[in-house]
Amino acid sequence: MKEKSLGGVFLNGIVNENPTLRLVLGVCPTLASTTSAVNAVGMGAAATFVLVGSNLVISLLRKFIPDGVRIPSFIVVICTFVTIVEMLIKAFVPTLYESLGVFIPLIVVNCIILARAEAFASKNGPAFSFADGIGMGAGFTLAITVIAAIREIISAGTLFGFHILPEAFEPMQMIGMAPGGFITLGLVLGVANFLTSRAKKKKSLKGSAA
Amino acid sequence: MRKAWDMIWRLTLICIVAGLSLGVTNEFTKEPIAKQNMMKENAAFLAVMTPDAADFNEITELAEGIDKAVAGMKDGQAVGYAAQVTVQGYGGPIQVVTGMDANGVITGISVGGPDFKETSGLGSKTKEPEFTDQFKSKAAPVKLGTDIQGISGATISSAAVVSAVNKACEFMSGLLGIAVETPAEIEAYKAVLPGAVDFEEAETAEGVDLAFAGKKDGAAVGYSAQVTVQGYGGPVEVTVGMDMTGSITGVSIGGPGFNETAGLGAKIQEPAFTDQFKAKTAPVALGTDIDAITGATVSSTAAVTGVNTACKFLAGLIGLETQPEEPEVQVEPHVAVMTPDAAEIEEIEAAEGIDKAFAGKKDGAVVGYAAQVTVAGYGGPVEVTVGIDLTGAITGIVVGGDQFAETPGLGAKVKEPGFTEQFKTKVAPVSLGSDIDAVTSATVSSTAVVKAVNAACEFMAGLID
Repeated sequence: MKEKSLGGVFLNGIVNENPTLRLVLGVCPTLASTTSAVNAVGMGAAATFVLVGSNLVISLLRKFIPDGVRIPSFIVVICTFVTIVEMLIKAFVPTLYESLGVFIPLIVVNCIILARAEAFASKNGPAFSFADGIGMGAGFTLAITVIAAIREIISAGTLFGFHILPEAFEPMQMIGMAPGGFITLGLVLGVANFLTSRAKKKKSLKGSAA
Repeated sequence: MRKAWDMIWRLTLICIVAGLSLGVTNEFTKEPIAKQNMMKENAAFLAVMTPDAADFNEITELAEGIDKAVAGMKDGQAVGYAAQVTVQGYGGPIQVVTGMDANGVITGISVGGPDFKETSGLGSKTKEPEFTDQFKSKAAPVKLGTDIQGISGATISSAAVVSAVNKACEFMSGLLGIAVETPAEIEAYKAVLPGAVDFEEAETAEGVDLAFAGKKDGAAVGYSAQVTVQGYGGPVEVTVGMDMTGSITGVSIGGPGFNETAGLGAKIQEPAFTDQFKAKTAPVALGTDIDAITGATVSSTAAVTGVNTACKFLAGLIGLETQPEEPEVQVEPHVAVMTPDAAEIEEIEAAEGIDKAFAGKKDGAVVGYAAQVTVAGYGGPVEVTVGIDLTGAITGIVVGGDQFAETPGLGAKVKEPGFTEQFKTKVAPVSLGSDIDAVTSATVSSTAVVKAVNAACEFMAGLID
């Protein structure tokens, strides 16, 4: 890897290593929360929050945690973090809990968080880990919001709850259900792959020309 | 071995710290979370409780079938109750929370619960305000079909909700000390007999649905009675209160079947109309004592008829002699069709082919005429009474007569407002097809009525000239 910069680490999470579209991590929460754009944004925000927090804590503890038991340690840290966040939101921001409540326990099973703890936070300092958490979170949020927007428009004719398609449009409810989630995810993955491979080809052509 | 111990103590330490921080957070958040949960649980109770309530007390002594009940308090006194009942719906259990104020009137209901599984688009509509709002300001027991319009296609869900509401009300009525059999009309009785505190059912006569003696400090201060008359859109319940001197203390109009046209006939429910009866002595007459609702003569007439019928009965109860000056309590067709401007009506000489004729007067001057003509219909003689004003425009017609025998559902429709209202404001001669739409498949009856109207108008036009 090239010289790392905070900005580079951040962008890496959104583009090159987008957790949903490039690393294909966290498919379970992706499918569950992309039924509507509002849900996706909520899930993305909650996951980003936990991701940043756990990255930070694990990065600080990385020298303390013995290699042999690092995975259990990560899981304990992440679960503790998620549970504390859940309790705090429930107690002090009940309106936010109303809309995010169902996603918070789901975050524990979001493997993006464990993956970043393992792949990044345990090997890098807190500043970079923080940037990685923000970048990965933003990439995750962006990707699932795109998928959710497509699914919401096709399955209900709405976007963020607002009607955008004419009444005459017959919603395809199947897209809003689990099979539709897989189909949309697959198509979006395909488009992302096509775009990145074309970008790479261009780059290599440029490189050979020079 | 050293490495293993190293792992063990480090992981143990991490777990201890995690556990401690969770414990501390829990300690901090326990109370606010419990409060939030309680608020959420009580949201349904809050929503249905009378808005007067400032504080809530949970009721610990519950009856069978009651999940939970709270009392709404204000200044240390219970101003209302709310109780939750779970019933079996079509798809699963339905939780219904019913609120009741201190008078036993339903302040609201909330339908739902965590296991609510009624069919989406059918039974699920029982959750919606269109259904639940119907319960508001009703008194239990409510009945599906009369008090409450069920959701079409979801009878089981609708009936389940109604039964839950009644069960909750039974329990809450017990708390209030109100007898469960309290008729839904008690509110109407209170409204029409303001002086009375207690009500005792009195004996009724024919044509009288219900009668109550209103008492205060053990002595009767008045009586009230309810009669049902036929309005424009359906049955109209008229409740009349009378004090011991025989004057009307109040009139309340409505009933579960009340279906007068909104904005027209429905206005007879409004105080602007009903307050006219106050302090009057029966029999009252439309046009003189009581101003009719413009464009709703049928409804207004029905209300007046109801009031007079009730008053006649009440006067008997009180022991007053009915005033003999106007023995005809029933509103005659010629009164119904006469222009509302007329303050008094007197019979005038009729011509050949005219059964009866009347002149409507105001301040001594004639303001309109009414005439009755009998023609042969399809099944027998048809009496048609027509009113016109001085411009010759028809003010109304009434079709009927003792021997009216047109085919029910066909020719009989010429009696209905849907046909007769067409004549209003028209100027004779009217013709079928252009001015007046005939009743489908009843051309003979329709033609007969038109013929009668034209004959009557011809006669009355002569009077105007």
